[in-house]
Amino acid sequence: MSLSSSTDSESEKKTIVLMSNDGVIFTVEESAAAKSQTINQMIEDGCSDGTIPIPNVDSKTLEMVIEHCTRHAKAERMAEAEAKAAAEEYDAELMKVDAKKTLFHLMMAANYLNVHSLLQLTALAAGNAIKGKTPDQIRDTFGIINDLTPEEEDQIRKDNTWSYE
Amino acid sequence: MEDSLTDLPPNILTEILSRLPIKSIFVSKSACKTFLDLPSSNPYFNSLYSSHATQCLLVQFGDMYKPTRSIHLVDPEIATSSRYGERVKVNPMFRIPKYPVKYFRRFRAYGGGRNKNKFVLLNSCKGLVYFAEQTVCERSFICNPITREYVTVLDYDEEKNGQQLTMGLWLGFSEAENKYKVLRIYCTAIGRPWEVGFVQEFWAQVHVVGSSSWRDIEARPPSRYIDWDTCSVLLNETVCWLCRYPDISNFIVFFDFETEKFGEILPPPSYGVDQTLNRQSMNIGVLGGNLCVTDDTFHFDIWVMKEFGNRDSWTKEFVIDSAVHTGEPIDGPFQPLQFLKNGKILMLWNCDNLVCYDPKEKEFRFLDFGGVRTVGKVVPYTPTFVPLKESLMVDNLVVQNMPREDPYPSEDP
Repeated sequence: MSLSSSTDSESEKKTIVLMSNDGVIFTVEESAAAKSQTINQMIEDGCSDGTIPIPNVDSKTLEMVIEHCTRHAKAERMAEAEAKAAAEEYDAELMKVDAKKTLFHLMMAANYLNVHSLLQLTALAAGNAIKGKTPDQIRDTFGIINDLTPEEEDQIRKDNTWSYE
Repeated sequence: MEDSLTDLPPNILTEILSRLPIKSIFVSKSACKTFLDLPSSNPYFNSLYSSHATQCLLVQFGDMYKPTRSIHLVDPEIATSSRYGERVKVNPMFRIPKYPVKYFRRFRAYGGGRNKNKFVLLNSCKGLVYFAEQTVCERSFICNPITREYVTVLDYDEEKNGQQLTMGLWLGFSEAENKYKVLRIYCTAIGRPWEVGFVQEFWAQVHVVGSSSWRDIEARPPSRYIDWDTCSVLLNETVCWLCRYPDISNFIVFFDFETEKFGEILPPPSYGVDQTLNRQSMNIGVLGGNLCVTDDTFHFDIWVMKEFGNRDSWTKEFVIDSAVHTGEPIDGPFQPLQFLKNGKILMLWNCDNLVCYDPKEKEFRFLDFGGVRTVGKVVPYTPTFVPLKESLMVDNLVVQNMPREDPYPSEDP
């Protein structure tokens, strides 16, 4: 996944500085950062100067969140088919990340930073990974521990045989 | 320590699960306790699910004399996906609860006797499903198959019921009053059908679910031929019926649950006299929130009424060449059920098969339910997780739980 290059020539674009929990600095356009309702609130409250620490998110995840926000902010701003396609292309890439670790961290980040579009996207991706799978397969995909007794599991399955294909 | 999906905050898990098809939600319940409890523990779940919910179908097999007690759920998106071939797999979702045998008095022109628990699937309104016994003594109940709850609807006045023959019952909803109502059309008779001076009159009654009475309404059914078997469809707050022979003076008539009045819908202005006479190849349905009519008389057309009640808004939206599949035109009627996500049109053909029509590729795909079964009723149904008491908004109804029964009994019913 390559980062998009900022080639739009708009003067005086304000930037926000974010720092992931492993110390990596990211400089982001304000319009992209504002896609996070959490950061947007800080911008509106006037406390977005200086470096904003993001303690819950690591650099790898933050990079992906920022890329998503940047592309979407650009698509909104420029209303160009090309920009929209670029945003959708990146989203399609995000939908394919591994469910157990990357998607999980992405969801947590989207929730913490309150990026609505990313939250919906990752929820959809997680849902797609659940659809059509048996309970065993679901547990495998997401690394979930089975905390149901065999009797409980048996009962649930019997009650809902109609839901199995 | 590894983080797992179940460590996510409940609102994220709700975002994930509530977007799934209904069957997937129930399968995921067996994965772990968190998923099992999520729909009932998170109040946000119900509304979020409802905003994403896609329409399914409820199917009852058998005919009106021997309707089965097992009711099956079909998710059309899954059933029509190509990996399942041409057979719709059905598993019973729930079984109609058993009511005690009831005796009723003879009604003069029509026989009486013992009511043997033959409940028929009637219609579904906002996730609630309505069943009734289709004989002189009709008990009826409303249930939510997802929460497995049901309430018995108030019985009619025993005294009066002896003189009345119920033609049909329909469940509906009035937005303004925020109440579920049942419409009953019945007839009274003087004399016997073969006697001189035989007079039959048709009446309508409304019961607000949870209230203590059935109320006669002033409005009279505009057609003498509206009954259980009339093609009907629920659209917002109205139930619409397609009038067939021998009633040829009406096209479509409807009942509005809010105003409690009957109304009439006129055919498209361009409809010739011939077309209004023969309705055997016609059916009605709802597509994309609009009332529509399929007409297979000469060629297969689907007319959509873009603005309810406005006859000028009838648009011949689809013209289908039904001969493209087998070389011979296929005889209808085709009952439109819904648009699928891929733009295809799902219809019920001859009450027995599902058919999926692709308007772009002009292709038909037929799916059957398995040769041995007679399809009794197919009802469009959108599930809801909202508990019955909350849906009905009444305090004085006794909500019962459908018993958990062996879904594959050796004998059905």
